[in-house]
Amino acid sequence: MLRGLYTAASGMIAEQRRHDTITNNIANINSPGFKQGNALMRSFPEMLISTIRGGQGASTAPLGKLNTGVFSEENISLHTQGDLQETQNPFDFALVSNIQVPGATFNANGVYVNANGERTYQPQALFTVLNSNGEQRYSLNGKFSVDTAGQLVNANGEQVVGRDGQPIRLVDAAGQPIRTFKVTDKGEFMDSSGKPLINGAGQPIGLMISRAENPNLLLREGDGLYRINPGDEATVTQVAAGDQVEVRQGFVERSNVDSAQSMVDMMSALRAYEANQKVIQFYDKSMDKAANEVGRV
Amino acid sequence: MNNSMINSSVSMHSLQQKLDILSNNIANVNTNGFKKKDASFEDVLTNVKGQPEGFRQQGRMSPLGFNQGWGSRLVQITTNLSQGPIQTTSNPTDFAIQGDGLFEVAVSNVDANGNPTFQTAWTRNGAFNLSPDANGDTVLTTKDGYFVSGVDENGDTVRPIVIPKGYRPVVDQNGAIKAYNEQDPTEAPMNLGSIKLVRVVRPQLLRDMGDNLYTMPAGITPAEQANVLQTVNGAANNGTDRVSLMQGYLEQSNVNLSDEMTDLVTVQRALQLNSRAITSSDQMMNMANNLRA
Repeated sequence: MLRGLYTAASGMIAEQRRHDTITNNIANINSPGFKQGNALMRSFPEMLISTIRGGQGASTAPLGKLNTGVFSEENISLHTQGDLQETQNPFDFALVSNIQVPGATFNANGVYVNANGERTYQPQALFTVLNSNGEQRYSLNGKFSVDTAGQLVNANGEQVVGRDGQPIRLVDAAGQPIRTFKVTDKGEFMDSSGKPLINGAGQPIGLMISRAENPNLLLREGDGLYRINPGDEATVTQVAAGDQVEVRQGFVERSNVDSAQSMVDMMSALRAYEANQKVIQFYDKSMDKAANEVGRV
Repeated sequence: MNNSMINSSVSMHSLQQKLDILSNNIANVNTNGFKKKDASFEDVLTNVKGQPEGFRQQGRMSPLGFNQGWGSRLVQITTNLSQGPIQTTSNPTDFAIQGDGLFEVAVSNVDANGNPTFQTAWTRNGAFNLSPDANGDTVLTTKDGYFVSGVDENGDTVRPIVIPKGYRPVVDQNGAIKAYNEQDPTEAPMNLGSIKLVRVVRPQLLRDMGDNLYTMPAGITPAEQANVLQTVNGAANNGTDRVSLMQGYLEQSNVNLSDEMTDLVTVQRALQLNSRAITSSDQMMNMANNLRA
């Protein structure tokens, strides 16, 4: 049979997935903290093909290896730093991180490959929020607000977690709302005279910045949130004192989607889809010949 | 199949909303006391196409499953309460606020039985009028005719603020009103209380009701309300971030045209990119349809 027909069909499906991913990147070109996704493809498992010599015993002669298709394997986020945009809103925060790992020098994409070919990914810093079920989620979108109870929340009303693991409440020990604050580059809340602000429980208020050891293990959940699979939770910790992480108040991190690159990728996905479609049409023509012309008198 | 198309159409819809907000800001570039609106985007819920254990191959970087996004949506429309530029008008009934303050006004309405009702609202627009009342005196109202609230010496809210006939109101920076007799300059000025000023503690919670007025969100308790706005007349108005009133000045809109135009260009280009994505996915569907030409 014409096994290439199905190979070309799988190519069309895979290019469609790639196109969808690029469209989603373009759609989120203005979403703060969004990280560009990249659909990676993998070929179907290799198989060995061989000739069958009919009538001369069972011996076969190998012809070679063949992959019979391609599929979209995974959608990897590119965790490079987005541009900072000044908003002058004291409730907007951006993270600037360049966490180093001893013995690794990361390239521009945040990967280090050692002499044995082992890869190390650059750890990333994220804000920590609690979703409506009280589970921890991680986010790079630092556009926050306050709710009627004085809690620091994100755009969906999910509470922002403080250093002590509790939601941050901008209410002082006397129960009065905290109106003005300055946030240091370590995420500590200060009053206008530079003294740390104390919450109702007597603790200094500060943002909990999480460090994801391998950002590829973070799963995008939508609404600007990431989660981590059960079993991988140990890879997310609070940032350590020496980590290069800075909180910038009054800024947001723009999406790191490159519009020109996305446009080129989209066109190439479209043309690759078209090429696969043409291959299917050629197979169809071959079958047309086999069915209608071979054996015509 | 047409994920790309859904993706871009969802996003174009939210970009259109952003465009509406930008044009509203630009339209109010000359509205006294107008505060611009900001909006931001967020990615829409993502779904994960499940993959069986066999997909865990050598070289794979992420956990099992193929992540798929569904575009972006508009979230968090907030009012930017930053100070607008102050313009002199020399009109004694024009007031400008410096600092995080608002005027309180009573929006009059009629209930089902035809009785007058008042709803408290707040505004930054200090272009007031003196309107004549039934006794021949004048009362301080907004341009729409709503009463401006005042505070008496006990700190209680009074409404309306009555300026007796033949008197000229002079308001100091704390909002205290003194009325001078226009016929007899030697007469001691009359104390008429103060114009009520409230400080905005939680600007994120104020709701816009149009006509440059703000209200409280629905279902808020009085205790929570006190955490959103605080009356600042008197002793509370001290410290570093005081709220002060300027008579004879008006606050202009805080819309900055160059910021809005920059945003407009970004949104326009994002719209174009998304419409190109729709064209592209349309071409793909066309190819799939024409597989058997």
